[in-house]
Amino acid sequence: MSTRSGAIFAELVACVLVIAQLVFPGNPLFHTWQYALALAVVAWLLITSATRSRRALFGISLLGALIVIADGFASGLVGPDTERFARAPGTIAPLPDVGAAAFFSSATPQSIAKGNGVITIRRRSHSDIFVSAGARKFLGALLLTADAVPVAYVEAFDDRGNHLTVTQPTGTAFLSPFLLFRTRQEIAGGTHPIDGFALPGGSRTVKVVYFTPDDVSRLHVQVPPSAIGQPAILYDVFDTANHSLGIGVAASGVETEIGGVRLRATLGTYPQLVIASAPQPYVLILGLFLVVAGIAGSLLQPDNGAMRESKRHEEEHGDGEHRIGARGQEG
Amino acid sequence: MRTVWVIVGVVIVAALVVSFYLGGGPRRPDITLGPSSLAGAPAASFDIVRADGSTDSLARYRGKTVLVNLWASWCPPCREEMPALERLYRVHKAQGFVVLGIDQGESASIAAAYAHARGVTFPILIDDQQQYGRAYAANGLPTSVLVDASGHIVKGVDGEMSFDAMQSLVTPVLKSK
Repeated sequence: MSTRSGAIFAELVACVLVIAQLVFPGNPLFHTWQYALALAVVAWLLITSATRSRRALFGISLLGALIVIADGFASGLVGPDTERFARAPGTIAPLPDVGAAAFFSSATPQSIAKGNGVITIRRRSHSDIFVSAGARKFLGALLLTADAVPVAYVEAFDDRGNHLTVTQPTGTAFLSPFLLFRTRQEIAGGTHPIDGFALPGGSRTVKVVYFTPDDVSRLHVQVPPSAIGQPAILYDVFDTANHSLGIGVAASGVETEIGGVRLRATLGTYPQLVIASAPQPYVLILGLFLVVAGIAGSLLQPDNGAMRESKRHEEEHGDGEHRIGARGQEG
Repeated sequence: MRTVWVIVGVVIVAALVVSFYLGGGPRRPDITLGPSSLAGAPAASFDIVRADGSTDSLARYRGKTVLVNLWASWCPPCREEMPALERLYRVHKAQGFVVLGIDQGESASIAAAYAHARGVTFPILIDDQQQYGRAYAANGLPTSVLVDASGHIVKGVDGEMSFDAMQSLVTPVLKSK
């Protein structure tokens, strides 16, 4: 491989490494020393190859690649770690580092079943940014995305049918009937989302486990035939002395009675805000433009360096033949 | 040649340092809001039912000073606080002041029976989905939020208040109307 093609290859590798941060936002790999080392090695290869070439267009693509690498370093090794904000519907999370607040849209049992939640990012003197599951929005050198995560809207009733207050003393919102399943636990060879809530009016606490439709079939969870192919929830109900009063499983929207309380959960999804550092888009575009322009220009331009090299070779070769011939004549 | 290397090194280091500060560096720990953090914000309002079955919301009291009180019948401090709230309502009612008692998550029958037994005359709303509790970042019950006539939160209070504490909270807002 010639110096020129090697350098082009290294430039493309640099671009791929940095663009990967946009393709896989929030991946912890980008904050590791291994990723930074890979960028540094590519930068070193480019700089050393540049010292062997005097082509101006090569310098342009090299400069572009170094800009891309610096952008990748800034958002990777020294960029802030990825943060995930799982909040109850209808609540606000301050984002002091970006001077904004995230407003998590209100939700109903029907809307979480459809997965319709939206997160609005508000900043002073700026227009709102709306982030829903699957969307990607830039905020400076940050990339805002949202993951659709399991959520349950729980309702509880006492034995006379009275609605009971649901509280979450360790949740993100104390007075919320929406369970966010921020913790996972290993059960029967798999990890499952778990959560819990209290029913102070009924003197009960409840631990719950979320089962996906696959879990339901794999673990042979007992649910009605109509609930096959749907997620289910496992309840473990405790009294005030922390004695378990019973365990039960129910499909989404189906009521079940355990330990003197009737429980019903509507299962669905709700967006979790993910804030990942990303290459500064304008810097990245500039760098990529220079790389493309430099490579395209050098491919279109006649290879003067190679021609000079060939000419010098011809001259040296020609001299040699003449000397041999002369030697032959001499002989 | 050595000069080129020095320049390249300096440029890279400078770019890293600048990008570190522009990028924000390490993030601060996650912050959880409480009701006191809502001062100055527009007060959220949701249509919910009253104990008598009619629909009501905070927005319908625009133009009045409103003390929103989040409560539940099972909550001992809420029970302690209720007589002081009723007294405050009666004292300032004529000045365009309202107490909105918003029951969190209980049946209307329980809330109505409780309010009737305590002689509560201010409006009692039933928030079975606990929307107000989430919107006002309640860390527990009771939680009180004072809303001015323009619909903005003056102050959020976590926990039980005495009558004197309520007076000192409400009186300046009523005087400034």
